[in-house]
Amino acid sequence: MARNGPLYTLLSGAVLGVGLLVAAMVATPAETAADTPEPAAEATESPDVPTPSPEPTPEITTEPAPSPTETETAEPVTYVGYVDGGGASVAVIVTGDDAIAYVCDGGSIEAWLEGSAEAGELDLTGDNGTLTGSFDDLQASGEATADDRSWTFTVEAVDPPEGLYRFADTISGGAEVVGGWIVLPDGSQVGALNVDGEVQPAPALDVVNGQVTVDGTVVQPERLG
Amino acid sequence: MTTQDTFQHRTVPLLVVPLLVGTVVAVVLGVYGGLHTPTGIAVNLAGFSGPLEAKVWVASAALLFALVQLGSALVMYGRVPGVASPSWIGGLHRWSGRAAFLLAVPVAVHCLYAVGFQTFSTRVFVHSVLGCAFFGAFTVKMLGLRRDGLPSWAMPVLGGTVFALLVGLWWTSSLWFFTTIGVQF
Repeated sequence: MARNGPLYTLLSGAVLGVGLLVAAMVATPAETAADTPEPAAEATESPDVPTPSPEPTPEITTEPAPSPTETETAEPVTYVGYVDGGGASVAVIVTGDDAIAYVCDGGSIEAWLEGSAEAGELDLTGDNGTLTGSFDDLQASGEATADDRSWTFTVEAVDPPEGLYRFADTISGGAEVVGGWIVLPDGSQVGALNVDGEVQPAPALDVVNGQVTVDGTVVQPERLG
Repeated sequence: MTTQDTFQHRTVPLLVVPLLVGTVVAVVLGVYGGLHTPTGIAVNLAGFSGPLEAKVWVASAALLFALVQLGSALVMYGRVPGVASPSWIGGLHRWSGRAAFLLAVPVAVHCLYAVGFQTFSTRVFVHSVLGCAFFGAFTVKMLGLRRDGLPSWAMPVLGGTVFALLVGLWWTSSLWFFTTIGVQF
C-alpha cells in the first residue's frame, strides 16, 4: 500500500503551485516593461483582455487613495483628458509615489488601475488594463489599455470639480455597483457603471451637488484624490 | 511520521495534526491572497482567449474529475445498489483525485497572484473563502489517508467536505461565468 501516495500528491501540487507562482512573478515585470511596442507579443502571458471585467478592480474600493495620514507630505494631483483620437478618457491621480487611474470609453469598456508613480514614470495595472507613461506637474502622457483596446494619451492636471469620481457599493436590490466618472475640463463627463460585472454607460453626475441617480437610487460618488 | 502505532487506541485525535496543517495551508493562502497586491496578470494557458476563460474551463475539468471521485467513492463504500466494487476502483479514485487537485492548483495560483483574496461582493468573498478552505481540506484529507485507525466516518466526511468545497468554488466562478458572461473559450 503506497502510504506515501497522498503525500506525493500534496507535494507535487505544492511544487506545481510554487513553480507557477515563480513563473508568474518572472513574467509580470516583463509584461509591463514590454508594453510599448507590441503588447501581445508575449505568448505565455496575457493581461485580462477579453471579457468585460467580471471582477471590477476591488482593492480601490476599499482604498481609493492613500489615506489622509499618508497624503500629508504628498498632495494628490489629478490629470484628466481624452485619449488621442478621443475614443475614451483617462484619469490619473498621482499621490507621492503611488498612482491610480481610470480608463473609460463611456460605454462598455473601463478599467480601474493602480501602481507606481516613481521618478516621473507611471506604471499601473489592473484586472483588465494597464497604463504606462510619464508625468510632470502639468501633464501626464503615455499609453493605456483596457480590455482589448489601447490608446495613447496626454492629459492635463486639473482642479475640482474636474477629476475622477468613484462610487462603489451595493444599491437597493442587491446589485454590486462600481461607477466611475471622469469630469473633463470642457465640462463633459465620461463614465461607466459596472453592475454585477456588466459594464454600461453611467448616468450623468451632477457636478454641483456631487450626486447621481443609479437605478432609481440617489448616490454620492466620491471625488478621488 | 509513523505515529499510527503509537496512537492506535486513539481515533479522532489522529486527525489533529492533519487538521492543524490543513488550517495552516488555508490561512497562509488567505493571508497571501490578502496581502499580495493583485497584478491582474499571471502566466496564462495557451489556447484560450484569456486567463478567465482558461480558469473557468480548467476548473470545470477539475469538477468533472471530482464527480468521478464522488462516484468511485460511493462504489467503494458499496453505496451504489447492484454495483460491486471492481478491483480498479481504488486506482480510479486516487488518480481522478490527483487529476482534479493538479488541475485546481494552477487556477488557484492565478486567482491568488492576479486577483487576490477579495471581499467586494458576496460571490467573490464566498469564492475566496472556499478557495482557501478547499486546499486546507484537501491537505487534511491527504494527511488523514496516511493514518491508520481513523473512525470509519472520517474519510467520507473529509472527502465529502473537499468535494462540496470544490462544487462551491465552481459554482461561484465557472457557473457564474457561464451564466453571466456566456459559455466561451
